[in-house]
Amino acid sequence: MDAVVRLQEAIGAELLRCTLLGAPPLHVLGRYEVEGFLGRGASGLVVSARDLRLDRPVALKLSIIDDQDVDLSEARALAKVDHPNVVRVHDADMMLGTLQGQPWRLRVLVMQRTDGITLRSWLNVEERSTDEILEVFRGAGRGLAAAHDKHIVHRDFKPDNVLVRDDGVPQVLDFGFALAASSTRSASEGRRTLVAGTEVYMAPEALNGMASARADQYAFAISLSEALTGKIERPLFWRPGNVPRFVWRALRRATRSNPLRRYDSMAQLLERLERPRRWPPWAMLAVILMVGGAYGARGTHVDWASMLGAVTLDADAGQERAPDLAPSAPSPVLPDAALPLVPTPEALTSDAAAPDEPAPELLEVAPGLPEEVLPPPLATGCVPLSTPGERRVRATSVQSGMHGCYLIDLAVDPDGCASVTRIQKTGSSSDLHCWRGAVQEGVDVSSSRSAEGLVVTTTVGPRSYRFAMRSDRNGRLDGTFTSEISGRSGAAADVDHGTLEEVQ
Amino acid sequence: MSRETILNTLIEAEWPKLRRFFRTKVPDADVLDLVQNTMLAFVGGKLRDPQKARAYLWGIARLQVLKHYEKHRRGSEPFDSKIHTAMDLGPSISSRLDRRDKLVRGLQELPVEHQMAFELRYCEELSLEEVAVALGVSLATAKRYIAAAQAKLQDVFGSDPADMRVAYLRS
Repeated sequence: MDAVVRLQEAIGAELLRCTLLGAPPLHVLGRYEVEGFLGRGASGLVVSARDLRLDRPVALKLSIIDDQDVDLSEARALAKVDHPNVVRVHDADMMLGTLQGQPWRLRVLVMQRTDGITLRSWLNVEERSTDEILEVFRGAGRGLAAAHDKHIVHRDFKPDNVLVRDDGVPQVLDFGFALAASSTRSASEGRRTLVAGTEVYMAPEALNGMASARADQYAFAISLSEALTGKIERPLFWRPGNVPRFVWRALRRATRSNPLRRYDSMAQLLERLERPRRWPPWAMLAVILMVGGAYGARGTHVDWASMLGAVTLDADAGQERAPDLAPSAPSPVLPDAALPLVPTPEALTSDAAAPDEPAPELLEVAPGLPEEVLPPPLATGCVPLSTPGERRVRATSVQSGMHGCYLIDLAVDPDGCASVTRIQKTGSSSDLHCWRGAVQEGVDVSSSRSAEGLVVTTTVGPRSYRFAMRSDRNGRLDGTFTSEISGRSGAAADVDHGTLEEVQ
Repeated sequence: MSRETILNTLIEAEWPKLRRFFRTKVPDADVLDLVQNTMLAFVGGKLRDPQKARAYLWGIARLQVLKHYEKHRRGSEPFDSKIHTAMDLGPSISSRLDRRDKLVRGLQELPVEHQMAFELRYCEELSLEEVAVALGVSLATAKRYIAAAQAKLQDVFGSDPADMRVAYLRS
């Protein structure tokens, strides 16, 4: 039987003996008097208790551990997160106790006790509007962000792990607990203790044991998409009618398979989940006309200072100067007070001139500008990789048109970039099956990075090779190669070169 | 037998079963209270026929559930346990039920009397007669409840009662 169920039965029996037979109360860590049960999860049991020292109600999360030296540092770090959207942790400790003659080794997490229901229940109780759902998820997201600031990763975010208090405030529960509780087991064993169905929220790289803040972002976005659409769908594609465009866009980016293509942080994702600010229609028209005038008069070069009715903030006086429109641009009369502030180049670069309100996103106003924010620049030669493994790459000679087939083993460096650990040649197009020819092992495999991308050199048989690869937007490898007969020069080297592409 | 001995026996032997029974019908936080009330009522009551002790105990448990529903549900419509399911109880109860397990969800979507009849017969392995006594109905009615529950669960769960029992005992 499940150990957690056995623990619940053991504790329950003690509690019944206490209330029905006058047995002494059940104490944990010599300080907390257990009163009853609050809930049960796959990894542990939550009981209600009273802190006898401070005379206040608490919730104790009890997890069964079987290892002697479990690292409590994660749990202790969590105790330092002080944010309204994260359930407050008062203490974390380990205890060895006996119940009904059986020894139990438990990790105890002492948390604040509040009344509320899980986010999942909250969603099921009543039909919730899109705005209500967004508001609750934003709160939970802020909790996640606060923990990420303290370098704590949740690893198991889902609607069952968010408590919606009676006053409507969402609180994220069970932080890093999956990690803390299973830190001494292998990653796969840790997964076995998860409730079946948790995996549906996990990012692809997290399923392989690489949890990170971006994996939490993924789980958050999947949970929000489930709350809005009623189902879990990967990848997110067709936007349902009830989901606003700006939300769907944000969720799509946050659920990309490649973690490096998601947002940099929860904070960034949350920003994108705020409704875009809208200018009043006449102001938008005015700006478009003015920008249009700029384009007309000067081609594609836009001189903001003179064009966009440069409303500058006089840094010293904090006063608005009257708009100074270029004569060629049509000039509708705009009441000064209502004109939205548009940053000049100076305002953009100097902090002193920063307006009180953030400048409206110019992307929303000017048609034709790319809507997608470009992913952050990658380190030189970095081929981003989340899952190590073997790839099939076909080399095509520019001269002869012949193919060579290679199996390349990729490993993931600490910075999330690929490096090559092994290359094997499995055949060439003269073989009946390019992938099933006699395998030749590449020797002296050397993997490095340069401006050309991921560069690998190796010797296979008589030839030495140099591959330079990048990944395309779908994560597939492509690049170029050169090869020559080792140790020879000039015509005798029989130099070859061509292209590389990954095949499935 | 002294009161203490009876209570001890109940705690040892019946607490795990009562826990499972209440857990599929009321929120986790309320289970222990209902178990306590059931045990106190049992020792405090007048059991005429010791052979019927089991049926008597489960009869009390059933009444505890119905009392709990009456006390905590919000809603103007009267609750009829022969027709309504645990999910019809209104959010103060239904939103706090643990619905993560597939079998438990299936059980919670049965009319409450059917749910109890099925669980007592196939999960706690009471005899048909005992089930009838516990629910306060005729043998024929008890049979009807159980068959209806089984048919609906088989539709949803797709396996036979023995498998469902295994899943239930793990809950």
